[in-house]
This record gives sequence, structure tokens and C-alpha cells, in this order.
Amino acid sequence: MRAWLAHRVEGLPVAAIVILVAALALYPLAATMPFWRHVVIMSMLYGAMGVAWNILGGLAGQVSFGHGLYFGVGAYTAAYCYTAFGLSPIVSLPMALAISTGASVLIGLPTFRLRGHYFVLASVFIMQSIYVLVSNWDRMGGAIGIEYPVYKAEGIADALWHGQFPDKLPYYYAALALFLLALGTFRAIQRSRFGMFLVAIREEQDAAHSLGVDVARYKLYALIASAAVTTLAGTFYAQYVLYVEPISTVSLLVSLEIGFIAILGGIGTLWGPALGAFVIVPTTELLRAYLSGRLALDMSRLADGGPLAWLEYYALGGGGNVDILVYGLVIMLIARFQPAGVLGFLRRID
Amino acid sequence: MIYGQVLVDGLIVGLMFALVAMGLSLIYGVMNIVNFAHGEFMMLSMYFCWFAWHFAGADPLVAMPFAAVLLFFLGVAVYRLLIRHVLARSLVAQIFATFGLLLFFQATAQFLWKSDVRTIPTSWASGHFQIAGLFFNGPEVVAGVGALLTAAALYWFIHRTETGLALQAVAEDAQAARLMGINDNRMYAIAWGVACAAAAIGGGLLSTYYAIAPLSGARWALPAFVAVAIGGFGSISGAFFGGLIIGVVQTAGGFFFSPNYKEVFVFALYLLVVFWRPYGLLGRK
Repeated sequence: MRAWLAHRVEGLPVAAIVILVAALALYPLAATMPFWRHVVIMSMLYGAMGVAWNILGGLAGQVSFGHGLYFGVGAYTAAYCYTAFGLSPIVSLPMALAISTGASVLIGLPTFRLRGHYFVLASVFIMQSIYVLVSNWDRMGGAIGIEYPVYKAEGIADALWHGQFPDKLPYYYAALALFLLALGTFRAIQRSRFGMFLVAIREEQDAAHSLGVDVARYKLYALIASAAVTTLAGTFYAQYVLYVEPISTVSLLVSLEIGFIAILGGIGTLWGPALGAFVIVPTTELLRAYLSGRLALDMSRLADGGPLAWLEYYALGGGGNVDILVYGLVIMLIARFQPAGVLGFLRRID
Repeated sequence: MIYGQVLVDGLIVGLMFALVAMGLSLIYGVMNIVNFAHGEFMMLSMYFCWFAWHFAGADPLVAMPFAAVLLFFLGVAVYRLLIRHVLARSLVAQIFATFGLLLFFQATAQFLWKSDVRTIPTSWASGHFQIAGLFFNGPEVVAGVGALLTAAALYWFIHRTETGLALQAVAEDAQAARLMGINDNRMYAIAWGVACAAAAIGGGLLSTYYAIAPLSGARWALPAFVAVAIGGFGSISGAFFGGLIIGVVQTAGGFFFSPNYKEVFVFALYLLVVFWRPYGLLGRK
């Protein structure tokens, strides 16, 4: 027992993992305010997506800025099936996974022949095209998106069927399950032969190919696995916020954020993306909450028309998008000082 | 006649794409970096021109040279503070460095100036005119001609001046250039400065008629990458012709199908080009 607890999974003792998971599971008991639960739900959601992105971007070395597509497939399938046909997310999820796999094959087969910048740009352009198409797709609500009708569930079974809960607790545990599933999937792939093939492709594609690794096939498998977890996250997201729009799902921005989580924590590692999400998501959520409160005050002063009102207007403006600002800044600093991410910093201290 | 109109409109827009693409290609050709933030330098120049007009009543064409000088130094600063340190790093670090720059500039603009669209009403450039049955929009023609002149100046700089030749030498083989006494680090900084100054001129020209908003630059820079790919990554003259091609494709796609999807045609063209001729329509391996 003791030997097992001291056993390390990528540097982290099993005992520490058990404590961390228990802490996450018990956290809602301590944090009863919806905001604090929301922060951790979003961290786990983004953490799951970062870990999923890492299968393709970290293990196989294929940097994709198109994962918003798979997130959007999960979110839009759930939202559309529910609002148009009254279908439960339990029913629409397998459909979403099928669409996501189909899209992975359609996009992966041609683009995986490309390398380096060519591949990255292809993913950017495909993502941007999908964004334009969805924004003009009337059936999907166009640029406005799809809003769920509010449903008051009677009993747990009914709430589960509609995928809507009045309180954040069920969402919290669903997000935790998603987070652990993503980590488990990554670990399983990392330890398998398949995972070794992926690393071989990342390190030296031509050498891997000459040794008989079917490069195209394993890249595609990595994308399908990565996309499937991202699609699950998309369905969870739709059911959680009950509103789906192009800019927060099928956009380049979301795709960048997903990849960024992995880079921030430590690309190619098991714990990196999970750590990255728990660093950046709470930071930006807190900053946004703090600033929106402060700016509301400033705007009311502006309405009085003080002598410095115009300065405040230009210096503070809307105050929106401060989370993106922080993302941009942190991502540059990481690329500049420590491409191995936060884990890289921690290792250096070690 | 309608085809002629679409062609002419496309070429005029294409001249602007050509200028943007040449700046991108300059940086890529010299140091193999894809600068995702190129459009953001244009956007900053557009805001500079707007503030110059708003507070000093300056015409954008008067403010433009100042923007170009400022952005030259901003480009050099970005190179010295950020890019220089990621040159030897992995592709991932390089891409995230310039994407980080893009997000940072865009979000800063949104934070400071909000997402409201601003315009500069200029008296001299407004209005339409007609030549041989073809309609022309004044400001667009001025911007197109300005872009053409700037593109020509850029070409002259790279192919006819000593600094330009040194840039080409560094692009060809940085180590050999260093042995010949060329300071490659300085050349890289100059490439960034010149590319950003060109972006500033593009932004200044656009600000006479194009809506100024935090995302305005990205709308020009993203399709311009397709022009760079068509011309073969790193080829300056290839990028110019690539720009003309995507201008025509975007205009024709918008006219014959729907303006909502005009960018999609350009992006689809990228996929066609890289699958069919990975080194560009005009490029060689």
C-alpha cells in the first residue's frame, strides 16, 4: 500500500494525486458561493480541453488551432437537438461524437500531409471558414446563436434527461468527471504503443515512417481521440451556460485558448495542461469580476461629466476583454522565457 | 462589363493585400517566422490616424508617415524584446509568441478604445468617378495607388539598396552572411521595422475609407497569409502577385455568391494551393 502511494505518475506521487482529487471532490462543501464553484468548473472544463489538445499537439506534435470546431460540434449539436426536437443531451451526445469523428477524418486526412507552418495555417483557415459558415447559418441562429428555454425540472431523473439543473453542484461533478476522463485518456494513450508512435512522429517523422510507423493513421487516431474529448466538453458547456454562440465556441479565439492552456502548463506532459488551466482560468475570471465591478463605478462617475471624464473614457474604455489581454501577455512571456511552461519553472526550482 | 468591374475592384483591393502580404513575406523570408500580429500593426496605425484626425484635424495621409516611423521603432522593439529570443526555439514557441502579440494588441485596443467602429470622413477622397464605363471609389483608388507605390518602394529597398542586399544574404544563409561581416541580428531588427512600417502605411491608407475597429487589421492580414502561400513563402514578388489574386478571388466570390462568405473562398484557395503546389503557385522548392 505504502509503496503504491509513493509510486510516481510523471513525477507526482499517487498519494498526492489521491489528495488532489479528494480536495477537488470536497471543494464544493467549502465553497458554497456560486461564483467560486463556477471558477473551478471553468478551470476543469478548460483543463479537460487542454489535456485533450495535448494528445494531438503535445504527444504527436501537431499544433492545431482548430479545436474550437470540435468544441462547437458538441455545443451546437446539444443545443440544436434540444431546442429543435426536444432531444436530451444523453441522446444527442453520441450523435455529436459521430459528427466530430467524421469531421476529424475529413479534415485530418488531407491536412496531416502538411507540415510546420503549412499545417498551422491550414487549421487557422479551416477554423475561420467554419466560423463564417456557422455565423451565417440561420438554422443555427447565425451570429446570435441558440438560447435554451429555461426548464424547471421535477426530480433528478427529469433534470438528468433535460440536462438542466437549478444549482451548480451537479455541473460541478460532471465537470470533475470530464476532467478526470480527459486525464485518464491522455495517460492511457501516453503509456500505450500508440502513444510511443505519436512521440516518435513528433520527434522525427521521417525516421518513424522509415521504421514502419503508419504516420498518417496514428496522427488521425490522435485527432479523433482529442476531438472526442473536446466534443464532450462542448456538450457540457452548452448544458452549463444554456447558450451557444459562434464567438464563444467555433472561433479561432477559443481554439487559441485551448492550445494555450496546454502550452502554459507544459506541452506534451500529463499534468501541464491541468495545471495551466488552474493558473490562468481563475486569474482571468477574478480579474474580469473585479474590473467589471470597478468599471461600473467609473462609468457612473463619467456620467457626472467631471473634468477628467474624457480621460477616463479613453483610458478605461469598455474595460472588456481584459481576460484576452492577460492571455496574450502571459502567452508571450511563456514563449519568451520558459517554453516548457509553468512545469518548466517548477522543475527549475526543484 | 460586370466581369471587368469585378476584376478592377478585385485588383484595387488586391493591391492592398499585396502590400500586407509583402510585409509578412519579408519577415518570413528573412527569419522563418510567421507573424500573426501583422494586421495588429495596421490596426494600431489606423487608430493613430484616427486620433491625429480627431484631436489635430490631420488628414490620414499626413499622419501616415508619422505612424510609419513610430511603427518602425515598435517593430524593432518587438523584435528585440520578444522575437529575438524565440528564433532558436521550437515552432510552437514562435507561433505562440506572435499569436500572443496578436491577442495582446487586439485586447488592448478593445480595452482602451472599445469595439465601436470609428471612421475618418475625408473630403478629398470621398465620392465616385467613372472611366470607360467602370466605376471607381475615390478612397479605394487612392489606397490602391498608395499601396502600389509602397510595394514598389519595398521592392526597390530589398533589391537595390545595400541594406536590402544584406537582408537577402541573411535570408539565404545567416551564418555565411555573418562571416561576411553582416550583423544578422541588426538585419532581423531592420526587417521587422520595415515590415511594420509597411503595415503602418497600409493601415493609414485604409483609414481613409475603412472602418477602424480592434479587429480591422486581422481582416486584412489573415487573407494576406494566403497571398504569401500562393506566392511561395518568403518570396516578396510572389506575395505581391498572390495579393492581387486573392483580391480578385475575394471580390468575385463576394459578388457572385455572397459577401458574407468572401473570405471563405480565399481560405479555400489556400487549401487548394498547399495540397496541389506546396511551394506556391509561383514558388520553387
